[in-house]
Amino acid sequence: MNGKQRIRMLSVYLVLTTLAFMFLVPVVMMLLGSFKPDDQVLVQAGRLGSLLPAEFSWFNYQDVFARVPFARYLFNSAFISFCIVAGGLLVNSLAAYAFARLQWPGRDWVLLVVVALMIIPLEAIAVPLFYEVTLLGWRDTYWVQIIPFIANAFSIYLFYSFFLSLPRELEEAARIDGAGPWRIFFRIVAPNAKPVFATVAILSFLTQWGALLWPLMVTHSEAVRPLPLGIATFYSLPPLQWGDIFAFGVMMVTPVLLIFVLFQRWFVQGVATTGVKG
Amino acid sequence: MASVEFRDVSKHFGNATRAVKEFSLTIADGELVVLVGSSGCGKSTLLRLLAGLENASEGEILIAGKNVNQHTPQQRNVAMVFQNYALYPHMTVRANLEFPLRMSHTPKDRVAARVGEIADILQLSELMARKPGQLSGGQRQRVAMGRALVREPSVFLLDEPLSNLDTRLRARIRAEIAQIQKRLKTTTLYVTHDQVEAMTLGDRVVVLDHGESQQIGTPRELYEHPQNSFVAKFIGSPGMNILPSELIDRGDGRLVVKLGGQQISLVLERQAYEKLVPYSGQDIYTGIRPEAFASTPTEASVALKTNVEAVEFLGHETLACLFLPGAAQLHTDQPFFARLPGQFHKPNDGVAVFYIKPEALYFFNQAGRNILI
Repeated sequence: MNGKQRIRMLSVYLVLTTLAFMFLVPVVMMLLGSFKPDDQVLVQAGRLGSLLPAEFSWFNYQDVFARVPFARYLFNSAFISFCIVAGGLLVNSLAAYAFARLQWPGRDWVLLVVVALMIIPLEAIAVPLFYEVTLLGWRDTYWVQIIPFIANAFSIYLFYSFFLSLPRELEEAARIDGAGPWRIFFRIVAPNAKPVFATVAILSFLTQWGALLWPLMVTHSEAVRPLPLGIATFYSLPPLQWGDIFAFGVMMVTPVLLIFVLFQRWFVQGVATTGVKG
Repeated sequence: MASVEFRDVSKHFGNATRAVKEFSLTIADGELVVLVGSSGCGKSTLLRLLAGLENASEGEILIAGKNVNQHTPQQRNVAMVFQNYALYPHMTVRANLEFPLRMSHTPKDRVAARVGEIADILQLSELMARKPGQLSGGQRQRVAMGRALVREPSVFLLDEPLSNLDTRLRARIRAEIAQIQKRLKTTTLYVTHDQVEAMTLGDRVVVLDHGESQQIGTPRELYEHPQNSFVAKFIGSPGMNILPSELIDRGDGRLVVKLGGQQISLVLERQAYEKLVPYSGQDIYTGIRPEAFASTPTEASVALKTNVEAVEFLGHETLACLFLPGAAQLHTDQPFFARLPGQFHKPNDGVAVFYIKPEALYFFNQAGRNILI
């Protein structure tokens, strides 16, 4: 490595380190702050040395459970996200397979509509959707937070483009071996599409875990409200205790990290073409 | 096991492309037939039509005398080896071999017995726990064969199964395939673009061009009696040299063929003479196999003076790339090859005389049809 390259490398790393630092500081502050007694959280906030708590305490965590039904929020969020992710993986992958491989009249037009749907944000359809679920009498239930989000144009498109790249011969071989379309999908296509299943699972989980607007519109009882609404409520609940809020935040972020670590293994796993000479 | 029949089968994709045109072929029970042709000639389409992966636009396909046009691949009981093997990457070798049997709900003990048997025949027993990604090309090829053979198909289809292997392995596996096919006596349709593979494997060979059958015959028939110039050029390595020439009737019951500036007098049997004589005074094509050239005269051979353009030394033989002098007078300015034994050196002046027997010449009309057949 000559001098010029070294300088370039150094400056690249300098930028990257600065960025990483900027992104990590709030997270670290939240984590460490959650272990501090409330009166120390904001003391000397400007100094790096004050980040570390003088003494570790679980008090804030206990306080969260005492002040709000955190377990309920957590269960609601987990249940809603799980249903959306699991249902979404099934429905969207099957739909995408039908677009990628089956022959049916109007297929390309319907696909075009699906692609077009990707650019419509929830905010644009929230009000008509609200009317619809009100008519159905679904407000303040789990279903109102799950059903509208299972079918997802972006997920379908992700699956669709992955299925197109799978070697067709695998499915043809399975057809000759006597497998029907369902078996081909579940025994051959799906096991070879783990990376895209993992990607879609992570992306839809992240979106749902942080969903605020829609639950705010359609729920009003604690029994069905998810975590983001919980933290919003908690935030506005006097007295304002930063330590408690940090503890709430840490508990809300941890499942996301766990899910990511869990699926990331498949995320990076090679594409399913090892059986095909390429 | 079963016979196979194509009856005037055509296949169009959309309106424009006709991949197969009125193709007819009967394959006897237990026979190995090779479809050979350059890429895009429709040979793989024919295989896919027989497998049931495509539907014929016209015509009938029969397996064991039954029309299978409307049957699914499974109902046809065919098995196929794909060019890229198409092994299921997420399954072990054992699971790959078991898959077709499981799909047909074969009892468990029968599955185990059958898979064991095939693994023995193909020497896969050691590899059963591995996944396709952990196998070499040759091993994958054998697993693909095994998966196809495991449920005793009535027809065995192979789509360029050797094209991903290196030359040495190819020769070995070619021999293995021939051996296994002889042993199991399964009706087999084999697709390749490699005429050497076609000649060495096929009981009969079908030469295809632009979706049309050019000739169907034993390897020997194709080599010795090609029906047209396409087959003549395709079979052999290198294929037959086809040179523009002129046929002249000398009037004394003898014909002369004019190649560039040189004339070769033909000694012909009555039948051959009568077939050729209507073409006298016309431009025809003369075919000479590269093997027909000799550097020393033999009995009844005639001399042909050539310009040697290049020489390729291959060890056991030498390929000489030749031109005919006098090319200016006739359109014989395309190079052709002579296959000569051992070492042949390019003469200093570039001019060499070769000897050919007139009976080794082939004649094709303007449309490319072999006149003597």
